[in-house]
Amino acid sequence: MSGHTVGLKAWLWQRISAVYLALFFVYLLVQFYLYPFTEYSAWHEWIARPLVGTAFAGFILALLVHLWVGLRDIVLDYIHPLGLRLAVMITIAFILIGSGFWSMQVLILAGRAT
Amino acid sequence: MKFSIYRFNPETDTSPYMQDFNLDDDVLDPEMMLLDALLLLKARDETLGFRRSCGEGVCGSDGMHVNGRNLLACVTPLKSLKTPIDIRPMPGLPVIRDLIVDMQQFYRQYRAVDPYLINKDPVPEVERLQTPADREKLDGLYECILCGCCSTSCPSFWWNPDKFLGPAALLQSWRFLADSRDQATDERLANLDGPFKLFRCHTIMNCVEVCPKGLNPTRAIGRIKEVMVKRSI
Repeated sequence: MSGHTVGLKAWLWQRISAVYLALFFVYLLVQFYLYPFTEYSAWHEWIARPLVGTAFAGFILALLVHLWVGLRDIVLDYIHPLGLRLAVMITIAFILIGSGFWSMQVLILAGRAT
Repeated sequence: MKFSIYRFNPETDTSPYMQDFNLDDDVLDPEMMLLDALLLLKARDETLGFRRSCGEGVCGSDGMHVNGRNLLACVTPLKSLKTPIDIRPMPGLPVIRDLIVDMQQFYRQYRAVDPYLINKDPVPEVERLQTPADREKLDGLYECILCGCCSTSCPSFWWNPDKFLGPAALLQSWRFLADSRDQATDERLANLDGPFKLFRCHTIMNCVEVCPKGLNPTRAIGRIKEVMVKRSI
């Protein structure tokens, strides 16, 4: 096979991120069901735990990867002029990367504040 | 029985229109196929254009879009269809006239998967033999008659008919990848990579839903992806 496995890699990442997202949602459901937060400090204490923080960071990364592949699929399907397609993809990438940094900052600040 | 049929003659019409036809019950037989009714209508109005040949679901000529679904007119019983029967050309391909579509794009994608055995060994005196088990792997793949019902019901093919190979071509691609006598697996897989040729398939499964031969292109596409993953690890 060629080294340029663009289609396969995107498809695989979509599936890997989907599995992580599904598992993480199950974890969140169980967590919120067993230990529902009644106040901010309890939530803060939970999110500041290194394991939870790391899992949350993984969730954000998986969500961004999943969003990128899904939105890229929509763009490739429906937007055909090359210039417009490129502009839309750059805009999406910019928003996703920005959202990623912002979410990570929130996580890091939540961890530090304890 | 009432029919509403898509009409377009580029030489005389500026835009397509639907024309109503009616066939009296006394000319209809309960066992008639849709193609038989179309032939009766054509005897009445010989300008009505559609393709047909074998009349028994082997040649794949009379694919059309009937009551919102692609099918072969020659193997579709009239009594299975709700009236008025809405008949249009298969979607996603340019219309030449009435129900006749230009299949060039479809065939181009078929040719792009090299739909023939590639074997670099010297030609043997007898056939290239397979075990019965290897031969069985081709069941559900070789039966495709290239009617185009699957590819023209696939939204991914509608949006990118020049880039996405479509279910018919991909089924044939897997037919040769799965063949124990074929030696071009690497080349075939390399040819399928990229975001468009194979990976525009979003498992919508319209192809499986409409295939008049009961084949499953979605499963074939899944098998190709499976082999790609195994080879990339």
